[in-house]
Amino acid sequence: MGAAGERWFGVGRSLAADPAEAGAQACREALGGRRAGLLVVFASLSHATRGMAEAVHAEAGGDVLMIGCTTSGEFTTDGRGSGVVVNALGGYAASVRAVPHDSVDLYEAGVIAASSLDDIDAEHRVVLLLGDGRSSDQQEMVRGAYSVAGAQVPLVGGCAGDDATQTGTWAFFSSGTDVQVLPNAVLGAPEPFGIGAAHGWRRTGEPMVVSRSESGTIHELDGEPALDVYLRRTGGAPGLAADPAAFLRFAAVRPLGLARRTGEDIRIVFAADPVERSLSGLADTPEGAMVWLMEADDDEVVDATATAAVAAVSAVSAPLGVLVFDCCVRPIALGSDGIDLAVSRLRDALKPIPYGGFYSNGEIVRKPQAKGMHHLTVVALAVG
Amino acid sequence: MSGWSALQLTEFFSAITRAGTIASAARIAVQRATESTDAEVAAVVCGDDVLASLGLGRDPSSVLFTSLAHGAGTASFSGAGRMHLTVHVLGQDTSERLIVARADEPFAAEERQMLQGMARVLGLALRSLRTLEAERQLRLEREREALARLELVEALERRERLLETLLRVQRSAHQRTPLAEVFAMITEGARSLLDDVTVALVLHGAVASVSGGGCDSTALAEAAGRAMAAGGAVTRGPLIAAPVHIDGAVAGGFVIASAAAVGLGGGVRESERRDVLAAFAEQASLALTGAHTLAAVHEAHHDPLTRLPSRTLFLQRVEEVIAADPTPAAAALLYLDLDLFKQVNDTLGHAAGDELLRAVAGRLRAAVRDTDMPARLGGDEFAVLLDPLAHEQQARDIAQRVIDSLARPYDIAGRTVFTRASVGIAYSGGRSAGRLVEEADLAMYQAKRSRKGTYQEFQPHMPADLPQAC
Repeated sequence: MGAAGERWFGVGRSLAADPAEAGAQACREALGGRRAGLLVVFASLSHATRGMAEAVHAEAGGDVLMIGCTTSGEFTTDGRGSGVVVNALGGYAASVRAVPHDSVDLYEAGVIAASSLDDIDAEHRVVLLLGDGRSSDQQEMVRGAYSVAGAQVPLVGGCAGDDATQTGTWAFFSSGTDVQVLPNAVLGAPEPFGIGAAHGWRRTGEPMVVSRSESGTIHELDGEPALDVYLRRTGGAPGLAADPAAFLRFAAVRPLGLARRTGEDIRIVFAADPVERSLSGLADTPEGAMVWLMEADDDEVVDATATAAVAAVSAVSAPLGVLVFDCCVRPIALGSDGIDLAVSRLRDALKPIPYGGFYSNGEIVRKPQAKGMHHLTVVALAVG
Repeated sequence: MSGWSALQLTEFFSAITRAGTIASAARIAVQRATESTDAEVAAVVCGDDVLASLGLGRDPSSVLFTSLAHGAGTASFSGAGRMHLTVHVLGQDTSERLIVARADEPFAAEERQMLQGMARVLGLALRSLRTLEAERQLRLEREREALARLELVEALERRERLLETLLRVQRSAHQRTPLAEVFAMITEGARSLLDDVTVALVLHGAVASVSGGGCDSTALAEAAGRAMAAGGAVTRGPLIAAPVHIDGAVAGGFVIASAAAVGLGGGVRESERRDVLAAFAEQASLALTGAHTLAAVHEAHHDPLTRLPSRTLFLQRVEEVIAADPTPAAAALLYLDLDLFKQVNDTLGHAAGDELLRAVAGRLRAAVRDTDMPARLGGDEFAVLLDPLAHEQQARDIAQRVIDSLARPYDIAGRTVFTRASVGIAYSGGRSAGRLVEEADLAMYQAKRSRKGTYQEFQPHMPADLPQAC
């Protein structure tokens, strides 16, 4: 493990059309001639090829730990785009595990992921999880990881994206790509890691009780068909559910919040069944739960990216870099101008600290006051 | 905190009833207990064994947990430092405990109550699973007699019915079922699980609900009083009672009178009766606490006299509706002013005036559609948000329906009283909620001035300044 002066963090990005070329360029830029101990790769679906993963790995000398996943877009100090972003870390104690989640359940996958902690002996440690947002209940993975990590080691990360196409996500590990692997890493350092999370939403109106639900589908609110209650409370047009794209645009900025001890757990409503009159969310909304409609000032939601990153950085005495996991529904909610503004505010807030981030299908932070999986949220990990 | 705890308990119920083994039930319990209270550490302890633990790594020393006694306080965990602690027993006759620890602040009364509820449900689930495992064992060995097996199966079925009944009560409590019905469900639920018993819920010295007959209410109230004074379960003869709490404060008692009290032969095991008593007393406490919280949320947004939404909630809703659909006349706003109200107030007194306002609110509710929102803006002024609106004629029809309904005579304080509503209509589109209310108010004034008891629609040429008294 390196002393403070020997630790470093570099970010490179490439939008080159050829995936392998983009991977090599991004990695070269991230390394800046240095030798990395860990690479964290974020790539859009268009660039998620074995050739890209091999090119990144080869560019770093072929003997380096590497994890990564697909995204719904990436961002760095150069702005946002769809290509390859490589985050390179040097001087940290690091260990990685690729968990084959087709052969074990998600809880066990979390247990195996956090088992990398056995390899790292450091004063401060953090588990970086890159989940698969399309798997059924990622909270189970967080629970499994927490059963090993315990209260002393924070869990942080995001779930792989697929350009919001719901087609499939990929993970990168060492020199390959795989759909059935949950990549993750444990980092250790003599300095604390900084973690921040923000969303900018707040509850509005009266609470509703989820009177019938099953997995991610809400059938009834307050004893009535959930879609009817939702449209009435949000002022949505009765025929809105017939047009899935229009409904998603409408519902992305009108999420539900689950009552929790400290605030709300946000649940995105992304689809509705006009026949069943039900709503579909990206995560379980349990029967019996009390929910509110959530609202936000655009400004606060725009600022969430910078707020989370600044909170993470301020917990570190000499921050070297930041990894940012930003919900993939936020670009839909904020629109192109709004998300560009979020990215430019992040750049202004962190200057001159480098950062690499991606739009994720679920954000992970497990520490006091945060129980695991989050949605419509931004999570940041600062290393120093 | 607002009503989150009882709802967390419902989620806990759903999760724990899905557990198929003792290990998985204990694991779910520590996960849910920590997540619902933002705690870092939890464990389920049975004697010297730790069935499951969370927050101190994979295999923490069991002594860390087994040395902790029932109650609240602080404890030091190696590596995690000093934490606030709460420890709950899983049942009356067991040393099993649910332990939860948190760094940031002590556990509040509501949280401890919720965790006690979780502990109780876990205790019942564990006993049920043990019975199930024992039954499986018996089947495998084929050594026991048929009668013994039958008893086990019956015991198991009773446990399952208990969990199902508790879950049903929880759901009803959260679906805002009237409290009296929830109480009846609790006492009836407990009675149905035990043979030949009378079950009562006593609140503030009076019997709020009783199931089964044959035991007089004085004896039930006295038993509840003893449990309240003792701060825990008490047994006297055939009567057992446990205190019921609202937000942590003692408010009454839950009483089970066994068959002996009513002159019949009792056949239910003592421990089962005590389990049922404890579980249902907690259900009653949670239902009451939840109802108080929901009532407080409702109070904040509603006019206490008429129970209609307040001005704040109304304007908020209008803003939401006009923001969601800016199309002209996608919604409309009715502004109502009561003629002759002042005379009723002056001649029959304020109490009669209040009664009239309540009656008007009731008719207003009945005259508009389910999707519309009536509100009291203050004094004798009411408003209705009409949403959705297919065409302007629909608004006129509803306005006329409201006028006709409110014009029918009222029976107030033994006298027949009349009032009339003058109504202003304004249509949404490109205006703020405040402006829409102003326009409807102006139109109402025009109606009142031209012909009381009619409606007028807002026209842009209407004078912007209202006289001070109209």
